[in-house]
Amino acid sequence: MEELITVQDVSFRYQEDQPHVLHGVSLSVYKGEWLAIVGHNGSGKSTLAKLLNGLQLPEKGDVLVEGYNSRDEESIWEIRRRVGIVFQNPDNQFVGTSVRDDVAFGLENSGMARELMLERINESVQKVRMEDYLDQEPHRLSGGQKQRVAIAGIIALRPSIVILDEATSMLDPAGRREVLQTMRKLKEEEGMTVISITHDLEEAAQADRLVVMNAGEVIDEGIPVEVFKKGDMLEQIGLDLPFPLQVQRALSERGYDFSRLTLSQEELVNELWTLQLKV
Amino acid sequence: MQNIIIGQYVPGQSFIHKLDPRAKLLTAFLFVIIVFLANNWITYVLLGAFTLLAIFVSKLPLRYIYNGLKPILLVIILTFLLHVFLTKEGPLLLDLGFLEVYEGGVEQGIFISLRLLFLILITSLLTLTTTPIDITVGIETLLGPMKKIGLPVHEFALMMSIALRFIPTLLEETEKIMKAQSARGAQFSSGPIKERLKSIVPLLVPLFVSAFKRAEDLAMAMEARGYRGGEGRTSIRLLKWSGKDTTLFIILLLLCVSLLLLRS
Repeated sequence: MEELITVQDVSFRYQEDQPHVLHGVSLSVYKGEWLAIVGHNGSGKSTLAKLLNGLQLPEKGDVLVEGYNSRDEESIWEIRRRVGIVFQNPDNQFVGTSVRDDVAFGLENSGMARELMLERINESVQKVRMEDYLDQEPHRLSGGQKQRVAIAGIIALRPSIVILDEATSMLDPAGRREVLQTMRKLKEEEGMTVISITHDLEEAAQADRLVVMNAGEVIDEGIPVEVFKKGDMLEQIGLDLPFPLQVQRALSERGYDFSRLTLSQEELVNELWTLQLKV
Repeated sequence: MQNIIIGQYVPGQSFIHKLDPRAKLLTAFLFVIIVFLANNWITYVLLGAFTLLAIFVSKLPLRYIYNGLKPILLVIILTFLLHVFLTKEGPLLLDLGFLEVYEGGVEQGIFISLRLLFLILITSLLTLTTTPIDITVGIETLLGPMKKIGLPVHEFALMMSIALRFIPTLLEETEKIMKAQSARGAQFSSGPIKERLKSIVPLLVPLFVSAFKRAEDLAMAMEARGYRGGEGRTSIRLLKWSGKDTTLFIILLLLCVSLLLLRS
């Protein structure tokens, strides 16, 4: 698999006299995957996101995005065009006075000609299904709609990677579903690489691969089923296990044996009704 | 509250609504200057005709125009009275012993009040038929050449549009904080003035804190989307100078020439 981002032994702190937020973090992001980075508040996961598109520079180590090193001043703009971030607060990242203006913001920054811009805007609002709201003002949109506009603004620039930095944490369940469905569709249909930074393990369970962070270090990495086998470790660093998994663990303690880990409700139901089945 | 982002703007499809914001801005600016050319009845009638024509063509409900005038009406009346009583020119019209009214005073009073009235009507016509964001874009393009002498035109325009964008957000937030404080017993709308002013403080402090947080977040989001100042930046908003705008300028030029010819 093609490696898009390489993080090599990166350490980082915000100020010289403050403790390190990241210690020797190394990881790779591959083309077309959905990578979830999970960790409790203060584990350094959001800081990592800022390092991935050059908003912050590593104190030690290197961040390479498609071969561009974020330490090179010239590369920074190439990196920011390739890596888009959807931030947590839907209001505080809406720059334009209307949906069209906001989607255009990144394109305007790249100095694109107006005709091409209009084309790109129409194309990307259709992908997030916001085409009927082009002239709406931000305060008339719901949180989920604003985050979808933010996604449109990013994919209009045709990046290779979209980072969701706690992008669903301020949304209601319906908004959260909207945003995640939109991203999943983009990943499947356009082959977008997605990095989702979250403390919601339920969301992370749907990822292709998981990176677990605690106190500025990567403490585990792997496919969800493998990582969730270490349920105690995840609980220890302050994360809540997905509900189906909690039910399964509680049942196991009472002496029921399961053949596999259940990360979704559907899997749990299937496990439960086949549990006593003797065919 | 929901309408604050569009300011006083009244949507419409009139000739004036469809004019290029640059043309409207320039007209308003030039009008402010040529108003001072008028100095006799015929020139004031001419200016009045132009103003009335503009209002008529804009098809705005008169209610909106009156609303815009209301706060300034008192000033106009006061100006009129001051001139009537204090200018001592021409034949005496009225002598009340302690007060003398001269013809020159009445004339001067009418002229100055009309001048004020025209100025306000034309400028409010600009804000009533143009969205604030269009005005911002218009100012940005008009002042474009000033970039060469180091005037931060792009930054100013961006600041304006971000301010416009965040007004409703901050108002919503103010409302939320007020409700939270009221729930804990704060009173905003009763009590003596001093108490009411004091109660604003616990409203402003959290509002400022959150505004700074928002600013920081926004700056980060803008940078993440590749913002690096106005250089090499293109714009989605397109201003188009059309025949209408040229027509407006020809009318304005005619007005200017007639004023110059007819003034005494």
